[in-house]
Amino acid sequence: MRTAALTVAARTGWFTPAEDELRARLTEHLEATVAPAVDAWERRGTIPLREILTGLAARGWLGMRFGVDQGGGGGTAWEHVVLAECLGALLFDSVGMGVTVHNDMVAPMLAEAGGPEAVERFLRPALAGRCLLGHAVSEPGAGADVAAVATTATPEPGGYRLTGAKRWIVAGLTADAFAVLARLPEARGAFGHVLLMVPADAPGVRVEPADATLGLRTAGVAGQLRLDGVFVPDGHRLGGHGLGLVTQLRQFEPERILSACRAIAMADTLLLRTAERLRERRTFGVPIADRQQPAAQLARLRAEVEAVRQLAYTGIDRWVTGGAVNTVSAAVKLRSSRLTRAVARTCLHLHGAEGQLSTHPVNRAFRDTRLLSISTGSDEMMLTALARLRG
Amino acid sequence: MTPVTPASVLATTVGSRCPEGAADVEFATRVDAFTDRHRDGLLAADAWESAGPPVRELLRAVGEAGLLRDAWADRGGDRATALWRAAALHRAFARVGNGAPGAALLTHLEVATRLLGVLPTTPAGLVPGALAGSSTSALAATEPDGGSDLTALRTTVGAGSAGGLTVTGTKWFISNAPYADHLLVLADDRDGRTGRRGPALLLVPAGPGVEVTTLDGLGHTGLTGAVALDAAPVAAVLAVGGHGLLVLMRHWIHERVMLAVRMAELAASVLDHAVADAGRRTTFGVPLITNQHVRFTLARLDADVQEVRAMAGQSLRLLAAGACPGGWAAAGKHRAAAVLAEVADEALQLSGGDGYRRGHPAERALRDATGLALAGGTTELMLQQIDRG
Repeated sequence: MRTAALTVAARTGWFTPAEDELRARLTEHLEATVAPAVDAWERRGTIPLREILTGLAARGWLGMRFGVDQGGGGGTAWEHVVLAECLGALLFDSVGMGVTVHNDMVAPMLAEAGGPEAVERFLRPALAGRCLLGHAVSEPGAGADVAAVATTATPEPGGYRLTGAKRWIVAGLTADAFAVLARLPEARGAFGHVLLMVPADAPGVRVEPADATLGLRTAGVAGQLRLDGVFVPDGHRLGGHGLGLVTQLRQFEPERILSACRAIAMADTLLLRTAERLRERRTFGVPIADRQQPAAQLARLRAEVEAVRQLAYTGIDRWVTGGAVNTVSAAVKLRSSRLTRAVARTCLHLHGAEGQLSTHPVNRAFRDTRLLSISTGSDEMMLTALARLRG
Repeated sequence: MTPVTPASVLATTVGSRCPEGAADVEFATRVDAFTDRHRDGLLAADAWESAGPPVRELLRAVGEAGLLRDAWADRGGDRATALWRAAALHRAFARVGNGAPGAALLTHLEVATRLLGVLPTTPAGLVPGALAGSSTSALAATEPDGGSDLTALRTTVGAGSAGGLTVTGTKWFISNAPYADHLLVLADDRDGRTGRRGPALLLVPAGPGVEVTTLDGLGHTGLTGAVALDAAPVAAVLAVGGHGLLVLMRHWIHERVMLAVRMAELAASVLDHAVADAGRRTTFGVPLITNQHVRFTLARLDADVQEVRAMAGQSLRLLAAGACPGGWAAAGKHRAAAVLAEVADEALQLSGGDGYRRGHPAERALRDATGLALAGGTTELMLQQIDRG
């Protein structure tokens, strides 16, 4: 598949020359600092997320869309799209997810709902790559149903006393601080939660590693974050008292579009790599790429990738210009997750026996992308949201 | 409470980069007024289920309302504005009369008229007549033994009396042929009578030597025909031998984008109907839509529809800039056709027996969708073109 013309077509009108330049520099940087080390990191079982974030921060590539007064770059979400796509192209989502959680899940809540104390204590150092941010929402009894969290924040003078347990925290083992969603003791419903920033070294905090997972094997996933009477000052609260869930849900919508951009970039790269592989690999005397069936399989998926990518860009544009993004966010999260999984499955198959090796990038991508339909809103949640928005 | 969206975040926003610029409200209002006025007459679904739908009457009415002229840019005109207006027209027409009148309109404006508009030897008056809605033409390329493979042409160019040219052969599945005043015939010029050998594109008046019969197909009821050409006189050589196919290959990018625009909106329209229907119908004591399976099915299709709409928008932007790769147009056309077929099939299923009734929006869309996966380039050909980029 020769897709250079399609890539140009996909980006036409959406990106500025400055963003194209950013893409070139980011790609160069990640190709030099991340790509060559992937195998070694995989063998070791961890990625140096701190170094990766520091490296990005040093070049001004963290928090590009946040205000300069908050330590950001004063740019737009389109720059975050470029970063998301460059991360996706790595086909190494331990890094992709790790950076996304930090830069596009927790940092936005700090930037948009954090008071001056939280910004100084967490956001500014985070955008410099010095404070690693983790996101602690899921619980044993609350996954997709975010509102059902049992972790409780009991108000007391000057702050809250936080008790409970969170689980499945990407980069939780290396995070310096967590955004924790907790319920208030008496309150019920949508306005009975608070979102609190909790330093990993605060008294009463314990982080435990997770059991082995299908993918994201080097993402430093924490299996448990135990919170045992942890004191959190009012200044570390994001959003109002009782508005934790609202603040959280508001962050999910745009983040899902950015995550979709990362997922689609993974699908894009997988298709390109597989086409390349099929041109090289010969069976019965001809390159597999010359056979119609696999070529048609890839072309079908390519058409979907390009279409879903346009939906993602449409969503980003709506977000940047202040429009409603709830429908497009749910739609593109659903489509990109399912599509990228389908692409990974097909590409794994087309790589034959070689693709079965755990060390093969397509194998890793197959395992990593399986999470897309579960994390930050499962496919079923997206369908529920879309159905509700449809009336 | 800290404001959720401080000024510093808002300050970073810039203008929209969406393909679709400011809405052309004036044009859209005129289109709406037209469809409202003719909804129960010219545009009524029933009229388009017969063997003789009111194609010429519709084209005349649309032309007289100035909607074709205003969705058209002459050389040096504002191409982008005209294209977006044409898209608005096709979108609006996808939503009336089960989308059927829109097929005839798209063929009229985006196939024959668009081709005539770019070819330098088109006789004067033909394009203005088409834009006024007083005449129409049809592109006659497909043959019984050659659909996707147009190099397998059997229609040939011959010599007529008084030094003129003729064409002889058979064409079929020619959209709008039963209503056409002229045919744009792709024919093999084996002797180089047009100046060169190879496939040539010729303008043939619907008259002596031309016999058109309406085909009774699964979809596009009454809209396609078979054409028998028996030494039919040629009025003009639109593209000389060898150039006929090249002209068409360039043209098909345009046609495929417009087809994708129409199919995306047709799918949206069928889905809207299905959602409303599922909210209305009661099974086992509750509205159908209260079933999670039904809700999820409709939600999944909604995401698909949003996707092909977004793709169509970008395709229009590329087309307006004269920068739409063939592979891109193919991707958009294939994907829109696939989503339309899926939406129509599921919507028919959810409507049960009512959906199986001839003339139900999903039933009509399902029939038309089968043809739309073939017309303007089959799915298989589209996949090959995507592969080539």
